[in-house]
Amino acid sequence: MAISWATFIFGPQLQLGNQQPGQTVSVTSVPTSYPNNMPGLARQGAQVYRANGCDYCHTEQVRPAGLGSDLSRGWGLRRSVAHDYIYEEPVLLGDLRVGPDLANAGSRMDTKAVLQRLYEPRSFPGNDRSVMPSYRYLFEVRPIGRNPSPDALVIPTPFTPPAGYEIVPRPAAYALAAYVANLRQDEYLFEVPPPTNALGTNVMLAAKNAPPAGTNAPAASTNIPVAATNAPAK
Amino acid sequence: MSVTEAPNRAAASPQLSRTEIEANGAVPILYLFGGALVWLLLASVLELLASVKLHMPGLLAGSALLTYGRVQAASQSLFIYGFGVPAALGSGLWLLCRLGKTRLAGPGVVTLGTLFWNFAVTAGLWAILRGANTGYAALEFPRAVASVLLIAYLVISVCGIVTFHHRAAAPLYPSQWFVVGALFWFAWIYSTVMGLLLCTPARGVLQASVDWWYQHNLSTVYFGFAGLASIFYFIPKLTRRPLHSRLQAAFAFWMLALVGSWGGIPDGSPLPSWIIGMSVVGTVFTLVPILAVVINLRETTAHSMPSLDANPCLRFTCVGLLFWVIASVQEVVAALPSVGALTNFTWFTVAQRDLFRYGFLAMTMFGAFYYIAPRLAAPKSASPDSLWCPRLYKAHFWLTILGVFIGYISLLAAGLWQGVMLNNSANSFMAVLKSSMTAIRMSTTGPLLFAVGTLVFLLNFAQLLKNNCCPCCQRKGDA
Amino acid sequence: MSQNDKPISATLDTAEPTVGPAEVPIWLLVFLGCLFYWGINFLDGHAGGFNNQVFEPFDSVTEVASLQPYDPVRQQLAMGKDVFDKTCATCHQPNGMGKAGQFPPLAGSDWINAPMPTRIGRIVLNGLSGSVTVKLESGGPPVSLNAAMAPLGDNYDDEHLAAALTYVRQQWGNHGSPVTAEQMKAIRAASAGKHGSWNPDDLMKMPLTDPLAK
Repeated sequence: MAISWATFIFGPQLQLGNQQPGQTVSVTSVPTSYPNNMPGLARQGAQVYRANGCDYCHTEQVRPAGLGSDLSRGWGLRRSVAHDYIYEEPVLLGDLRVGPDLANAGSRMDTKAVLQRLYEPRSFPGNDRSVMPSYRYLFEVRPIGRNPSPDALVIPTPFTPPAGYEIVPRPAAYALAAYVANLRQDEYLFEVPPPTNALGTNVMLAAKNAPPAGTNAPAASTNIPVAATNAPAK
Repeated sequence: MSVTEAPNRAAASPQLSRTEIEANGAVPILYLFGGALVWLLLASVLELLASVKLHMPGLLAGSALLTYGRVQAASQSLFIYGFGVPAALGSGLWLLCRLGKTRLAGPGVVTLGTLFWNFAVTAGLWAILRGANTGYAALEFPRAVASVLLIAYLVISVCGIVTFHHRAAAPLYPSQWFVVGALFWFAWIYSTVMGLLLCTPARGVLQASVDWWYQHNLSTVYFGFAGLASIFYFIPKLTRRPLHSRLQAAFAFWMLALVGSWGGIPDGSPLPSWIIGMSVVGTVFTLVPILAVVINLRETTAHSMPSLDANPCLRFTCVGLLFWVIASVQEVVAALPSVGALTNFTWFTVAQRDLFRYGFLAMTMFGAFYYIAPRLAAPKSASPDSLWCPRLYKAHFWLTILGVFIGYISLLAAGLWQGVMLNNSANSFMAVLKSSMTAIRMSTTGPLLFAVGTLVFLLNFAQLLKNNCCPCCQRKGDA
Repeated sequence: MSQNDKPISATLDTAEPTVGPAEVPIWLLVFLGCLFYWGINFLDGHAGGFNNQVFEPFDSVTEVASLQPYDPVRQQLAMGKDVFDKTCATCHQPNGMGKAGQFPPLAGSDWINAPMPTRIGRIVLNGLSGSVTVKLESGGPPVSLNAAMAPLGDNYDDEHLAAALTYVRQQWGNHGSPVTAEQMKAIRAASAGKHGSWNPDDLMKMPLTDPLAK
């Protein structure tokens, strides 16, 4: 009893229990603090995510390169680590992938795309056999007033509302969309340094073309020129 | 072996005084079991609904109450807290009375505790459907509900410990170790997670680690102990052979307690690799207690396995043991990193979990119930087992075993196929999904058959009670 | 009940089960031992030294540390500090304040903070001797003293000198731009014919142009 408690509860608590944000690790940009706490609407959205049991079909953890195809599927730039979750409560890692992993959903979808997917997952091309339930109760189908609402969803046929009606998301839908569109794990950290390519060249340095001063964006390009050297002089 | 050959160290005339002793616990134990059965029926109906929604997402999609995520959460919570823990308590308390040759201590307290427990589970179900779940798998009931559950559990288990304390002096039978171990274990793991997840949540991914630890302990150790207590008692008893080895049983008990609690962390999760490594090692080590149990019981029943037709308890218990071995070995295999790369986050792990719960725990508890219930409901009966309706019993048996089997095989196939397709990144996610849909559709027959089987069992139980009056009337009749 | 249903046969409520005396089979204990050995090996390879910063697929903290990206800015500053601590701090002091009457301060010095390293590049290559006046940006009185600095052009290559100059130009509140090895190379080439140390007055007459400009 005591050994398992020590191993899985106490030990990790000692090591990770007070984990503070770490520093990003990068060649091209100044180290910044990571992670950033979620914006308020996204934090509310996390509760909507929890309350609707989204974690019963979606995971939010990217596995490393050797364990499955998560990275080669484009589900993330890098594997997930403990630092990614220090501000989450509850941590909604999920256990089953009936649907794709969402750890980096914010890199793939914006708020509008999430809202459309929540209203009708089958409205995307190629997704007609999707088994995700539609969350229409998070939306309101109401008659168009004097002017159409700027927030009205644009849904392709055959899911458009009847003539004279528009679909407007409720606050819970906005919150959930903000949460999903905010999910991103794209900074490199000490425990997940940027990858090296086949020549052993640091990939970020190889991609660096501009002089160091100025750019603040992480080098997340996928077209990496291979022929660049990394050797410091001497 | 006839009744008169029974050793009579403490009990004078075994048949009468034994039932006299046990009649004391009739109401609370039957209440525990009856309530558990009702929750099991509801859990399997919800599981059926969730399974149908998987391939018919439009069904009832407009209702927030019945959205897939909530129904799935409710089904799992009802199984664990509505059926699993009360059934374990019921069979455990009865075993303590029977093996300790003593009355149940504080039957009124146990009944009251069960009342509060059931009330809390009802409130918890409502909370989940309304979206007030906690977000932690296997711990979805909100904090207020969980607190009531913990207190009720502590009250009931204190009665169990007192019952154990008053046992007739005799060497302990292995089942007693398992029951007492289980009583302590759940109290400890449940209070730990209540503190670390519900009251003062740990930081970040530690919450997931604690939750996985809890789920693993709940299944492998707590439910394992509960089922094994039953198995170790009924198989030797009903085959009328002594249990092969006390040492082996002790070895299995301590090994399961030691290494069974390490595990449950999926490979590739965002935890430092040492935690995952320890989890893998612990899970692989559980092969040892599995082997110890299997050898022990195999030697016990070697060359003398009676026809399973003879006894519903024996039949269900043996089936439960078989499923325990399969599910446990599957868990060991799935823990290995090379296998985990294929099977993590697929239906493969769901299949193992469902086999463990519905195949092992439910079947074993059914077996215990078939033995215990008539002896409590009709203590004076000369042949208590014949009080069950044979047709309903057979229907129950075949429905549940087929349900478990079909559900397991189809989810296993779905999981393996999904894993293979998923690991090839050339396959789009929709292609992966479509490839496993046939197996998913087939797996719906699992909970369907199981739910019908449980309903049949409930009917059987109802007729048992009705025909023999409720136990309190029986006791009044005695006095 | 129809005739097809056999009644469930009564189980004699026999005695409680007893327990036999057999031992734990030895092969099971051997198996446990083998598992133990396997477990230790597995943890050796997969537990990352029980360090909380080691995630799969890395094996140890040293491996993770070795894979950190090379940051040229930090690298140059580290190199420059190293050179300064070994060679320059003896005279100019680790806090860059120099010694009154003997060694000029570097902190806040107008020589150091000049827009281009034309002058200070030549000083470190060939040394400095003569009367030098340092105006301080903090607004205190100018410091005048007789300089006697040894040449370092043969002790260090362009990269190290550039690093040291960069360090000095960015430490203690100084705000100069970094000096690159290319610039040092150009300065060295431009002053190739110089014999002996520089005189401060000659240096002050030199325009502060980019060494790399044609």
